[in-house]
Amino acid sequence: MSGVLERVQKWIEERFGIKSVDNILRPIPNFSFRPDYWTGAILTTGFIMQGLTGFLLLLYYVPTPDQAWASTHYIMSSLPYGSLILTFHLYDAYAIILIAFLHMFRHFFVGAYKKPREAMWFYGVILGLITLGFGFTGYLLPWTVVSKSATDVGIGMLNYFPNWLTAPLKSLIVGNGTDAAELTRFFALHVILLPLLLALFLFLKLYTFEVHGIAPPLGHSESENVKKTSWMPGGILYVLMLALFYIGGLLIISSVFPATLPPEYSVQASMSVTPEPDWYFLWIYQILKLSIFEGPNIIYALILVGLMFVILFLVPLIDTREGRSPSERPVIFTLGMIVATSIVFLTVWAYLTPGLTIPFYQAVIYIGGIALIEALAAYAALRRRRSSASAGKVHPSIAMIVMVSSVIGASASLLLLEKGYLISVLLIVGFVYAAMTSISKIERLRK
Amino acid sequence: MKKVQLLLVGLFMTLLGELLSVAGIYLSSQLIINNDPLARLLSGVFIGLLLISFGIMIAFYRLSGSSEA
Repeated sequence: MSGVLERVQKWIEERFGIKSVDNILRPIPNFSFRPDYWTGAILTTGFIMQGLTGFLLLLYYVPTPDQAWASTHYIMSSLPYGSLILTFHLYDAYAIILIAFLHMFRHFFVGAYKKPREAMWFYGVILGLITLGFGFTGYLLPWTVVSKSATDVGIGMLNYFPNWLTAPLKSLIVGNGTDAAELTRFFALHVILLPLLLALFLFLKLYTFEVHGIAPPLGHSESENVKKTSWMPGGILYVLMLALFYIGGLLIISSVFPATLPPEYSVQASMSVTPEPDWYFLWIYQILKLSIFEGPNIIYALILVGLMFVILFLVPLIDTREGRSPSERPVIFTLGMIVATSIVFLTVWAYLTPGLTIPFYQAVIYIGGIALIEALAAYAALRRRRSSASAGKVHPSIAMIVMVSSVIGASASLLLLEKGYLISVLLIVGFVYAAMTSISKIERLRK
Repeated sequence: MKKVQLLLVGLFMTLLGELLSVAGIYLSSQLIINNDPLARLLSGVFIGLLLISFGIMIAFYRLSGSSEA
């Protein structure tokens, strides 16, 4: 038996130049056998499943305005396993977006984007944008009244920019402006262009991952010798186990909570619905709904959101210092916390206020409140940590954040008083009091 | 638990899960052709269970330390 195996191994080695898996893939450090180190592998599994289920849906889906909804309805109601496959495709997309956000914030908070892994962050942000592109194009395909109306609102925002800037993009995504041209283009982007870009950047990212390996845990250096396991069978089995749990779990959820298809799009039907994007765009939608961005001012909101993505892309070039632990980079860490919480908060808020314009002062109060509380918490934690090392020296930038947050919080309270929202004021005062008490308690414990 | 015991427990759980899920898939696939709503609900549950059973088998295999050999 061993003779046969050796001959097979020799045959492969001679033809493909592969002696063993350890020649191609670097062994995995044992500390990384934890699911949070493998969110990228789960995402790759999710993308592979999207390809497989997407192919099955392609067999029945018809990308024309008169057939898109009907063919989706046929898949969901009449085709054996059709409902399961379509629901899985949808929920897998949701899971990918959710895990992609967690993956990004996890690597942000542990500073995994630092030298020499900056390129992985760049590829990751591009992959994130491609994922959101999949979401945006895929949302239109069932041709439901909500998805078509919301997509048209999204496309309509391009009109606020100068025509010379947006004309190429508009011709790519809407063509001559008819429904048929729009649907065909979204379909082509969803099933050809975006998958190609995804494959390209995923390859680049995995290649860079192999070059640099997994980032060591906080407090450990790259050069430290750690125990490692070969990909075959240890690594493969671990990733396979995670993939099986992910796919199995998602299949069960898709069966128990099957997706429902909203009514078909028609001009009449669209009059009676509030166009709303899918949940992963709700935080942007909430920013666009702020009263100061009403009418043509929406261009400033779009520039703001665009700027946020540019800053996100440039994070490794902004935070170039070597230390990775939160206390070594308190400002960027605290800002990350505030952004992460605000995204979740804006998403929930947008879900609760569909189509409503949001008074700007409310956003200042809520986001300012979040910023204040988190900055105070970070300040307390840092002060405690620093004081144990060197007699209570406070990082000036952290102090600055606390000061700015306090000013925002105070002006927010004033605005609230003016509007007579006494309960909200009491709540904010309560939060601040709780934060201050916690700090003083921590301080007392230290002494 | 010893390595062999862990492997046996994993194998037993997997076999049980696989038996149940294969039977479920077989029964639901007969009904799903007629679009039976219950079968539509259960089909994915059984396929999911089958995959998770394999996952459990690997988890026990890893737990026993055999994958590091």
